Amino acid sequence: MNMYQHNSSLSTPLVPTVWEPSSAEEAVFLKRQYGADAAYIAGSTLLRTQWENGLLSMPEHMIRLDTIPGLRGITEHKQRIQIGALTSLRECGKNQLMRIHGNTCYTACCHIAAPSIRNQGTIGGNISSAVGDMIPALLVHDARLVWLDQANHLAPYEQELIDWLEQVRLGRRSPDAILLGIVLDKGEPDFVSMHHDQEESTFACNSFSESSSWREVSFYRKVGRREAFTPSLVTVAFRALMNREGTLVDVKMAAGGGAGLAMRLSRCEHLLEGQVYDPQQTATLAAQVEEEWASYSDPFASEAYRRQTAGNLLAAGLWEILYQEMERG
Amino acid sequence: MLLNRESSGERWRKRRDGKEKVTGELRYLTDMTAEGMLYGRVLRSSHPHAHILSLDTSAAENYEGVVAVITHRDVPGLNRFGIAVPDQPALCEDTVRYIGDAIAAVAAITPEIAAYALSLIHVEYEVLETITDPLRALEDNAPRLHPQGNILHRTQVKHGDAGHALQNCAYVVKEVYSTPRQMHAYMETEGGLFIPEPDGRLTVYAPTQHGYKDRMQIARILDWEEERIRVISSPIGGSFGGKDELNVQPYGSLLALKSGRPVKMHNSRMESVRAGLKRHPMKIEMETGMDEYGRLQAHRVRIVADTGAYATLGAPVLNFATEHCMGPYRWEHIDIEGVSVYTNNGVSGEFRGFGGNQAIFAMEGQMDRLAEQIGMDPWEFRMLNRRYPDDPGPLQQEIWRTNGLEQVMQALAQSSLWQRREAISVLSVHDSLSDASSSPPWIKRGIGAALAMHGAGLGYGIDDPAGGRLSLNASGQIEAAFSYEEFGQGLITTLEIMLIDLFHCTGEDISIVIGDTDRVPHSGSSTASRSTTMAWMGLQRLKSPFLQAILQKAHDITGIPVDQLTTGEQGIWQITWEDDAEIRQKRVVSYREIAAAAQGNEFVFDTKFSYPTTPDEVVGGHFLYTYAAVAAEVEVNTLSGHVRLLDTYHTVAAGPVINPMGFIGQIEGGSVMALGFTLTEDAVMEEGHYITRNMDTYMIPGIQDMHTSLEVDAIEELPDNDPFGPRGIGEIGSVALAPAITAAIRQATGTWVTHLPVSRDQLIRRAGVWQQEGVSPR
Repeated sequence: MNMYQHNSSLSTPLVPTVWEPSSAEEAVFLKRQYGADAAYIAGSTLLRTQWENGLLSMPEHMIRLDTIPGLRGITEHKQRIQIGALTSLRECGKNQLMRIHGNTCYTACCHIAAPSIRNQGTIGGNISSAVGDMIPALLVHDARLVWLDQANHLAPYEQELIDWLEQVRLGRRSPDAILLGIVLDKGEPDFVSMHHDQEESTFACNSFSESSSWREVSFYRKVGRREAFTPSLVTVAFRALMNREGTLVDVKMAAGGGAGLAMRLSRCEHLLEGQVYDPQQTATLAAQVEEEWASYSDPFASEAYRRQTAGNLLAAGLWEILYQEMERG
Repeated sequence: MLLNRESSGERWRKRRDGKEKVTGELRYLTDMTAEGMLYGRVLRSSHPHAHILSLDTSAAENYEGVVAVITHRDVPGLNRFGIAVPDQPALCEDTVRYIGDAIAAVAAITPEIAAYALSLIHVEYEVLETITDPLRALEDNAPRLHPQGNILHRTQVKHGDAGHALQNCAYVVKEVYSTPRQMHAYMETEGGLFIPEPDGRLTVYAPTQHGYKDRMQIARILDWEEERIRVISSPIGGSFGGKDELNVQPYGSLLALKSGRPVKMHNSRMESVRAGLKRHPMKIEMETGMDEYGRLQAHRVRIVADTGAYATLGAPVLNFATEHCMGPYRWEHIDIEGVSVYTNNGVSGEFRGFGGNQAIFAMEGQMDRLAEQIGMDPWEFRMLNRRYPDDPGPLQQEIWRTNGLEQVMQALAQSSLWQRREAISVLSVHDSLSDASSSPPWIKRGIGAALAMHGAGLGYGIDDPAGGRLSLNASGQIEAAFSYEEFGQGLITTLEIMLIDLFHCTGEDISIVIGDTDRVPHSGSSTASRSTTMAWMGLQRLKSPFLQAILQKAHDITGIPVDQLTTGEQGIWQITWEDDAEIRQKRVVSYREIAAAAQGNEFVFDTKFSYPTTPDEVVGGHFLYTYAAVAAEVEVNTLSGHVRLLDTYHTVAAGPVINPMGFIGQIEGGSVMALGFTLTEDAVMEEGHYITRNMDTYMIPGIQDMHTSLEVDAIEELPDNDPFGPRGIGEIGSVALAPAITAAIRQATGTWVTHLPVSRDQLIRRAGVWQQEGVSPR
């Protein structure tokens, strides 16, 4: 483990100590030792703005996570893929495993901040912020998080993302836990993916496979205050399986954006589950999203605006899926 | 002529500073360092309005590494600055009026120590009521922010009887428009390097738009002779009006003199937001009437401008807004009143467009509403009501006659973008499908247009000096010197092209000196779209004596008659004539040889004059106007209310185009700035504090927000007797896009916009309405 301070012949209270642990265990040890005076640092793209804006105090002790080996990269396993928490957003946004098995996450990675930020920012940091644009996308993939903390005797353990968000919501987040990685289950082998690319009005999709009448449909939408490099006002994600008749099953919908915590929209999912979606339901679905999603107001967007936009985006996204279906005959 | 690389031929000249800027090699003044340099930081007020009860700097002064601390007690001269009205304290004595107000400043050996030392300064405040609303400031029982009260300036223009006429108009539109507190958002934040020289002088390396004015203001604060101060002020990483006023110069100068060491100041972005100028938010109420034939009759306007805590150029900005809220139209009855009000909201000041942006947004909005009310095409309606070339100016003052208005109106009417509008209006009747063939039903498109008549120069009654120097320097280069600044607008390239045009030489034969009060004559400021005209007029005056002198010297050296000599590449060329065509034979003497033969200042020529003004005694009234028409196509996504700018067309009548690439750059840059003004930019304040404290919440347009295409159509023709040459175009690209966009939004969605930036809440529609319109996937 290395430790250094900025050189200065004068003692000032201004210069943080930067720790470079060589393992996650060391990092947890340091965090427990310095408590609230210490913070884990991954890409530090968001933390830096929070320090500057006075939303957080710059910690006296910075614990670098990028010195810990084994936390980068995306690996394929039999039934799942695992994404190292220190994997940069840029890497995620060009990874084919991510595209195939976590398409909404893949799309999200391409729309977070700007290229320079995506080069440095990590998927783990995006999640750990609890308000990152990745979270709605991960929610519709039932993502699980792999943590390490003292409470579990430094043994890695998995936790559903949705459960962790609930902990955050309740203020019960483990203060010393390190996010090691993210786990996404692979789809059934005979499902094929059909994903709606945000940039295009056409689908990048496959036809129904010979062996299955079900396929995955999904989309991700982010609305910010400008086209790119903008905090999200509203972020939504949708994922389901659809058959030739247009029946939707395993429907998952999520909404988030801004400083609000993202959430799954279970009542909306229930509304669609097992149903052949009727476009006449568009307004109903939008209204249901508006009702179910709890958002907030700030100087840049009212809660009413955020709710209505989320409803519109999800309803219109589904409408587009059906429209494209019709176009394809 | 549509300006582009192809149409510009050899005049498509790469900027001299282009490569350095693109590669990042260029060193701005704020990149400079000096040996033994200290770092200066400013302690700014914690409260937008308070009395200072006590101020204790002893802990900071005693902190190791701190070399100097200054407060108001360290200001030897006038502890105030302000270009027009010096009412802003360099360092506050007993009252703070906005959260950027400076109370103390520190110079230390590292930036960290300087920052820490600020936290050691103890200030005790008595917090006072914060005035955030100009209307509150106007109330009798409001706290007085300045000894004379809360009104900085009032304007009034009246002729006829607007009140009575409005009652008798066939159609009247009444609306209230409001505009945002836009930030200049220059790439380089305010800063500089301040060096006390061994000879007792002070050198100030700090960006500004007017080095001589800074010199005067700094000297006034230091109680020095101006000549003891040298201001070096270019190159500048953007200004747009925001660096015309002093910013860090008082602190850097005072700290450098107190410490006896060079001091570097450089605002962080957050400090720049906190202390820097913004565009005046304005509330403009308009009531406009016309007869049953669509002829404008009466126009009643009330302008309230939030000028913030201090004056700077708030009064001239209001003058300009007042002059421009009548548009290029004919009126029988006018009743305009404006008031610029002090509040505790930051400081508003000079900003590209200078009050015209706000006024033109409102005026053109009225024109669109009136046209719709009477069922006329909006452009035909403007044609019907346009002023005539010989009409007096908006303030009834004499102005220089051109056909620019007519020309830009015709050009826009014939533009392919405007002609497409009709096709859209057939497809899109506000709430039906816009472009059903390719876009989903929630995407609506529309096209709008707007018109601008924009005054250049500072206006009648305001000292507006011009001038310049032309010389052959010791290196044998033709050297032009002006006190103008290069802040990205391409001034250097424009001057280079002017000199090449005049002397048929090459870029290597030319030296351009700007931005250094020790080396340039006083030729006024780079503001108000004036530099190009002034430089051109100055060179026209200097050309003859300069040529006469160097050709005479060439004759003395070569014995060739003067009438057979001319300037050219690398020196003087002998010419012959064949069928009235000049033929250059050979170079007979180099510029260097001529320079070597110079005696004293034999080849140094100066000129002084003033920017042309109207002969009529109308304070602020302009004489030279530039005309522009803008068309814009937008796409509104009604799922989110998001507006996207598509094709854009600017036609500008500003005389001959000297520097086509620079011309396009200015119009395009102005247009993008106007896009931000229209759609995303607003420095939001709550209780006198900025909510948008950095660029992560203050949204300037990014590359993906920009227009999908932009055409610049330059109308170069001027009347035969026009002595003023090319007009400045630094501002006109920014003044008329907003109303064009909001007119396009109206066509796309049926919604009138009165507040900028455009609120998405106004444009969002419930998903599924298109089902009722018969658009369904099944």
